[in-house]
Amino acid sequence: MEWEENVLREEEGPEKMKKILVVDNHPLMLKFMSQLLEKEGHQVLTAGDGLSALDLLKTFRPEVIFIDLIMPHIGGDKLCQIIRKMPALKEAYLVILSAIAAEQEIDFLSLGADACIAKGSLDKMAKHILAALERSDQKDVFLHPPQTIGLEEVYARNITSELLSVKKHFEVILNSMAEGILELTPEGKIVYTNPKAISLTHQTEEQLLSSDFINLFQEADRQRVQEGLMEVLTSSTSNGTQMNGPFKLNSREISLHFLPLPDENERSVIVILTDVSEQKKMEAQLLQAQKMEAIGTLAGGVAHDFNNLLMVIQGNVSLMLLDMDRTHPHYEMMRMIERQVQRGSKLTAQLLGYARKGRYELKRIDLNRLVRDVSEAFGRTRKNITLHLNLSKDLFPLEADQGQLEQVLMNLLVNAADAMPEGGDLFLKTSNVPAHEPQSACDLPKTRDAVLLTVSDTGVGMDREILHRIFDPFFTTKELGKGTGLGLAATYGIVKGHGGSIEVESEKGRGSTFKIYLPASAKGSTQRPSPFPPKTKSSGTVLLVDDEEVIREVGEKILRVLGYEVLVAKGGLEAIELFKQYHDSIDLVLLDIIMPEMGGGQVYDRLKEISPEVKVLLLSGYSIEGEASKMMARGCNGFLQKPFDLTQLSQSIQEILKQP
Amino acid sequence: MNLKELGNRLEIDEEECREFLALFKKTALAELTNLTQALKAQEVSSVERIAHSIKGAAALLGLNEIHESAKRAERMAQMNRLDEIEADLQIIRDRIAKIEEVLERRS
Repeated sequence: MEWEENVLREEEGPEKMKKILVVDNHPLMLKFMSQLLEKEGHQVLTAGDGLSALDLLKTFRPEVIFIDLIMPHIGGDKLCQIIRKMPALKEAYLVILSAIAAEQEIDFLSLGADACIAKGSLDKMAKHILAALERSDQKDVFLHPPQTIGLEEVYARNITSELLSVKKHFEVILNSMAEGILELTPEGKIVYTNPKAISLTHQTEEQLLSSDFINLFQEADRQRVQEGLMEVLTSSTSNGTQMNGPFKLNSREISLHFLPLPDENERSVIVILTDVSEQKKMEAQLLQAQKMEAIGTLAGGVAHDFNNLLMVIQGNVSLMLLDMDRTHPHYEMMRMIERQVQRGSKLTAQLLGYARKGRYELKRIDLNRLVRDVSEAFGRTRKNITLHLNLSKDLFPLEADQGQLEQVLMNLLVNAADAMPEGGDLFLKTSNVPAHEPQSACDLPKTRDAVLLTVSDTGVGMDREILHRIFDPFFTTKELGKGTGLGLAATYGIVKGHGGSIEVESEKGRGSTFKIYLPASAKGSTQRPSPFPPKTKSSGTVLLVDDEEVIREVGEKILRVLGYEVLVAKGGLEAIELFKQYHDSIDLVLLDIIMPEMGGGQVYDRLKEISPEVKVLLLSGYSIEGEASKMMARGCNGFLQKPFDLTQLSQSIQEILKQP
Repeated sequence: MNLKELGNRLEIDEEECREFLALFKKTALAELTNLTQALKAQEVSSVERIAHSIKGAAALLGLNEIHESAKRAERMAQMNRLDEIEADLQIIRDRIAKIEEVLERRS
């Protein structure tokens, strides 16, 4: 060793002045090194920790840097790595000063350092430091193998190895945590990051260390975050501050927890970053589901009563209309009332559709016919829209509720027309989607055949923002009073209720296309008669069963006017009694489904016991999921949705009486 | 302790030796205060850290007794035996008092 150094000394010429930076947290070491190096004619700057060092390095470009390994506020190892990534200091010679060299193999090369000196007494260190300076000029002279200088003079320190093993424990924990951990100086600069924090912030460790914590957040949040930070820094008894925010960090939402970390000289802060994006998403979904549930329940409850009262209005109007003809001064007003009643009932139908509660009657539907009928009726009201129908001949059989599908199609047509106020083209298409063909957006299992209904318009289209929300209840882009925001929500509910799925494609300015997939069925068919034939008078005896007095009154009146004999029952028990007595002369039972003491279903079963060929027409404000369908399956002959008008009632009764 | 001898050992001159010792004394006294506080508050890791620092500085100046005492204190803190540190702290205080004397003698 001595010999080597003597040789070096002899060879040296006048020493070139070097710019040197010394980073160590003990003032004694800094003083010693400054004096030693300045004596040799070099310019020396010192820094007490990594943070200050980085600050100095913004304007100071040293050729040699001595770094203490164990320091607070960015340790020596991290500092090395950061410096090595700075292009301006590419040529700098980095020497690590290590008090723990005896305990740990310092792989200083992997840190980016050029040499490592074990700390010891001043005289020995002076030697090694000066030697290191020599070597800094001869970059290509390596010790073989690279080793820490002065190692043999250092005492083995057991305690330190324990210290190191504890540190390793914490490292393992910190590195694997699901939360991001940052340590901040009182000035808010980052001096420690764990891997999760690095991934959350989308920056490298080098970029994060010594940067300002507050800059991670967007402008709008910075004030609040700063306040949280200050609270922890200034309060003397703080147990930490939780800020749930959430704050936006890149594309995630995070909550912050600030914890004070009292140090000997000053107060640092630990920040725990928790990614709550998933949680927030689920919360939103839950809220949405709860809203839907609430509305559904509300809708269900309201619909029944509402439809019943509409029935009474309609009933009385129908009766009055019987005594008027077109010339009567009140005729038009009566018709207007009828139309509004229909409108009112459609509104509840929308609500029920959305709540997926009014699933009335599933039967075989001729989709093409439905499309033709509805679009025809629609076309009459919007003369400036050109309808193009492209209906596939052999559609798979479809089972659905006629009324609900009409509702769906009507909703889509109305929306399309509203998107083209100056007129335009509307394309309606029906087609088959066999089981194994790609069906997108599919809730439909791929093993089922499906029928596809496509409605396209050439209207104004929708942008992404709107597309996200169109199925939300009460969301509308139409002005106040023009749109209820229920149309598409109901459509969605109905489609889903049928086990289908719905997709939208749209581009602002380019029009929209709605695709509705409905699962195909495999059963036989019955048709509902087309809606518009005339009313005629008839005869027979009808038993009317309804728990609401007004319905009974109006119902009885109407039936009599239509020419029927009427028996009336307040509820199931009375109905059964009457039926027992008069079932021979009763041609038809009009049965309300929802009744308090005994439900329509039960009554039906009892009636059937008495007379198996009993003909029953079901009436309802709405039916609970499939109740009506179940009863239909058990043999009921028909179903009529309140409010119905005279024509509908008369027609339905006649249809049933016609059957054997 | 003799400034001259110490200086020779460390291969620095007397003046420099005085300066370093003065700085050591100043820093160590502050660290001792902090350590005592930390001890009272039972802050184990702070005690450990401060002991480690004093140990390192003492090694620099070849102050072996202080070095060994600090070493022991660090180990005790590591093993959570804070109550056994007082003896070593006293040694350190005494040695620093001695250093103070030496420094005052010449001025």
